[in-house]
Amino acid sequence: MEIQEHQSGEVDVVSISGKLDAYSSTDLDGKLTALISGGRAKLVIDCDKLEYVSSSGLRVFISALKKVKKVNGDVRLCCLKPLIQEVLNISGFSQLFTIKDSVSAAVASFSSP
Amino acid sequence: MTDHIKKPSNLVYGVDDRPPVPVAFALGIQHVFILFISLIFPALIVNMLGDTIDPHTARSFISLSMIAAGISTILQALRFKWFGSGYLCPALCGPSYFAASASAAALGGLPLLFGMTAFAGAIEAALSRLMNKLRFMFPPEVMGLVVAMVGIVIIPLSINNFFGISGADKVSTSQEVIVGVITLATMIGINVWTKGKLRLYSIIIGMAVGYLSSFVLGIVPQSSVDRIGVAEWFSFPYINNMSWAFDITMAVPFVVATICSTFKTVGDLGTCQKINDANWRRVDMQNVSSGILVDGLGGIIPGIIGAFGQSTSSSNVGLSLATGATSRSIAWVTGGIIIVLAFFPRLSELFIIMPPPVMGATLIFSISFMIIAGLQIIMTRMLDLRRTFVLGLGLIFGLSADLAPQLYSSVHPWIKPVFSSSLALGSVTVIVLNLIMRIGISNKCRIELYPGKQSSEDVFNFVEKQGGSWGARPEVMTNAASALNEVLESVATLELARGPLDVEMKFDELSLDIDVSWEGQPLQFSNKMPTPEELLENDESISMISSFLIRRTVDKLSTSSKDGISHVQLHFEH
Repeated sequence: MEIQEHQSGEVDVVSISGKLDAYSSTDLDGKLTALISGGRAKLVIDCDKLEYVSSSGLRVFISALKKVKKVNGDVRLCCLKPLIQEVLNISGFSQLFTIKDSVSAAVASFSSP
Repeated sequence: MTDHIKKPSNLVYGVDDRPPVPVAFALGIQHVFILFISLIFPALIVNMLGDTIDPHTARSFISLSMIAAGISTILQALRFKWFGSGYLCPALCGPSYFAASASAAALGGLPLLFGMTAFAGAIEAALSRLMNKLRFMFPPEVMGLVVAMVGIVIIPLSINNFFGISGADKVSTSQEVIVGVITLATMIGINVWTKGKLRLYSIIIGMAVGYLSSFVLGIVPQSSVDRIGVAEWFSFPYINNMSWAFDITMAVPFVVATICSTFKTVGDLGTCQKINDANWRRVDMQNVSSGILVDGLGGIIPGIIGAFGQSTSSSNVGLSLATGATSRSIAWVTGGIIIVLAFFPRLSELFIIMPPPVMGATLIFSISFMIIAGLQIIMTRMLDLRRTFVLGLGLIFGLSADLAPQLYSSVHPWIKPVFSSSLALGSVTVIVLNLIMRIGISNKCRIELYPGKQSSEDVFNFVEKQGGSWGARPEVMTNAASALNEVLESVATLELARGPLDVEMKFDELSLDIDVSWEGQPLQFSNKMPTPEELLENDESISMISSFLIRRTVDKLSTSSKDGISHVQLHFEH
């Protein structure tokens, strides 16, 4: 799995590609934890190139969400493929996360009240 | 057909819908126009026999071929357990029969042609009873190529006519090109940019515009117009001195023609099944068997009454898809119209004098759908190297029959039908290669997976590679890989196994079964879905999600444990 990151104002956009499973989730967990530890609390995870996510991958999403909630931040997801969206719906994650169709919409959602 | 047939949204009138009679009549006329194109084959036989047959017999041979087409079209739309496919799949004078029919006519005149045509029909009828057992010969990707070739084989005829090149006329004029473009543009324009039911009539409106522009631009020869004037209003068709003959030397070419015709019909009926069912997964061979029996009668009946051999029409299947009207009641109307027209030669002439560019535009319009339908069928399956070669070589050698026909000019007359068209050669090649490439493929496979050491990439690679060799549906294999990876991760996370997981996959066309076993404690599947609040508050709740992700993908899940060996069985319908 590949992870790329860039900043858009106060928001950090983390783009992930490939398969997010038990094996690769450690890398993503490390990246998100480092950002949060560095004081960044507004995170967007761009899933445009994410092909598959396992329950271990979902664990990373929820772990990051728990951490940023403590500092009034949020993790928002965007650009989900139908298969990934279905996994989030079944697991109940779509009720926990704000999900947007594009990176720009996800970033902008932090500005809206 | 699948268990849950769903009418596709692009159909205005599905197979069991009943359009109003005037609508069915207009739609039937469109089909009749296309069917008339195939009358060129009996007409060529008549030309070949010249003065050896009397004028009434010559005309009747063509009229009786129309009656045979009408009867076959009607019978094909019937739906009994062993008889009739129940689809709008009209019959026409089968191109597959032409080479063999011409040889029979040259050797023994019409009596031999009729006798051998009936013989070929009987062979096909007998073959129809074996179709269920021959299912392994027609996996979806093979069927898809046959369907695509069914459209591809008509390209030379359609493109030549589109440019006004037909029969002895080898010159294309600008007027003919203009008529072709106007006709095709009208059909496409109505089909794509109009709303409502106007799309149903895109072909007949396009043809009307084509006929009109042909007369305005003067590309209809006066001799064609005169033919309408001299034709009789009513004539009862019959063959003078009707008799039948059989010649054993003609048996092989007719059997080969029958096999080619059968392959084409399997392709046509497979397409009918697919375009009428949004949930289509594979060819229903029982239904095909019933349809092939009627196609066999499409040989027996012409042989008895004195007509040219009939076979299902790919162009008409394409037409029904293009217009969004596949109702089988249209078949009954189409059959009725063509039978009636057989008794009214003057009316028939209106169809027969169709200007070549109009004919070409109509064929191009119809086969576009046919070719794409074939490619779509191919893409419903995963293709590994073996299957890629099967399809690639089938396509290449199939096309060679039309692109370089001189290569096969010296083959023995008995097997000439195999090399007579892209469809025949492509179908035979792809089916034979598929049988050869099946050698060495087992329907079972095994792998060991090490919890905590292997990634989902390993799991997906293993499952997808097997899916490719089995020609499985990609969505089923993706689900299987997801579920298997969840089991692997759960066993690793909960530290249940003392060694590797032994994974055995078993596949047949209807199901995929995966048995995962390991030495250690069994995996428990939760029945309770954690709430969003529990997910946020309780770290253990995430483990419960794995159960739901597995259940999401499998059709049946079971677990067991005995003598320290734990099993998880995943069953997927295919």
